[in-house]
Amino acid sequence: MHEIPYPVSITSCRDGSRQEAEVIRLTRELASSAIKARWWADPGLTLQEASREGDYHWDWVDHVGGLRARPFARAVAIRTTDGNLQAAMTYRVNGRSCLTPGDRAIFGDRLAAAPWNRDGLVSVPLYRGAGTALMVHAVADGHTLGLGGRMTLLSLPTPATRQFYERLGFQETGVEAGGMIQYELVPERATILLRDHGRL
Amino acid sequence: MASKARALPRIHGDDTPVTGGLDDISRFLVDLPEPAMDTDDELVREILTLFALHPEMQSRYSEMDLRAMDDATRHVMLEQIRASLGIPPLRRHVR
Repeated sequence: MHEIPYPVSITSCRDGSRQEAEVIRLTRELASSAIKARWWADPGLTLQEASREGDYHWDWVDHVGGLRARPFARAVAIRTTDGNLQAAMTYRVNGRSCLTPGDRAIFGDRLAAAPWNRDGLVSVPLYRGAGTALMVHAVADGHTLGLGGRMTLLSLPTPATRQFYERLGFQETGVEAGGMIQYELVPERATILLRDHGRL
Repeated sequence: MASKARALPRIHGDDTPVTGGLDDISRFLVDLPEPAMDTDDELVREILTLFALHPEMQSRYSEMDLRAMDDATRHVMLEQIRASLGIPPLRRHVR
């Protein structure tokens, strides 16, 4: 989707107010200055707490840098007016459907919210909704590329994960050897998601 | 009169689960011919991606030179391609 950046709003956990933010392209430089340098720099966060998070070891700089040579890869983030990135995501527009062989799909490669937005990691999270905004963006991209918004991804088998993706309309399609769950959003549910978020 | 200030209900943080991160995702992807033109232009990249995903569109517009077009013409072309593919337009995001 070429209309980037564009505004979105996310919710402040402090008072429930809507906060201005924008969907932006995530570059290697931004990954360095706003993810690598800031996400895990909270002095209140112990190494033990941080390393329990599934993405603590992810090198977003290297990852996003490696996508430059991949024309079907996309890297996006939610940036608030203070310059911080509240969530980041990479996806591919040349994914394949697991449910309907032959159909194309968006493949969700990586997705994570900033550590300061996560329940259980900080006592008072800052924002919610940034990850959902990125998911809606990826589905909208799949819509405008003629994929019907179909999207697949893999995630950990936790109740929170199941709840998050089922709320967005995804269904489980299989289990990977390592225990990761395959999820897929079919076009009918993608349409509902985009309507629910005012995009259709 | 005693204050009746009420505590705001707690709003939970972002419930986005950490997702993905596999080193090798090739089996979840389709091999597509890479666009002939390397570009940082978002609009051109969108059109080239549509061509890769829908080769019949590339054939239809094979006489057109994306490099020589201005943005307004590219926008028209993009809308024509989407209309040909039956893609309903998205609404612009409203806060």
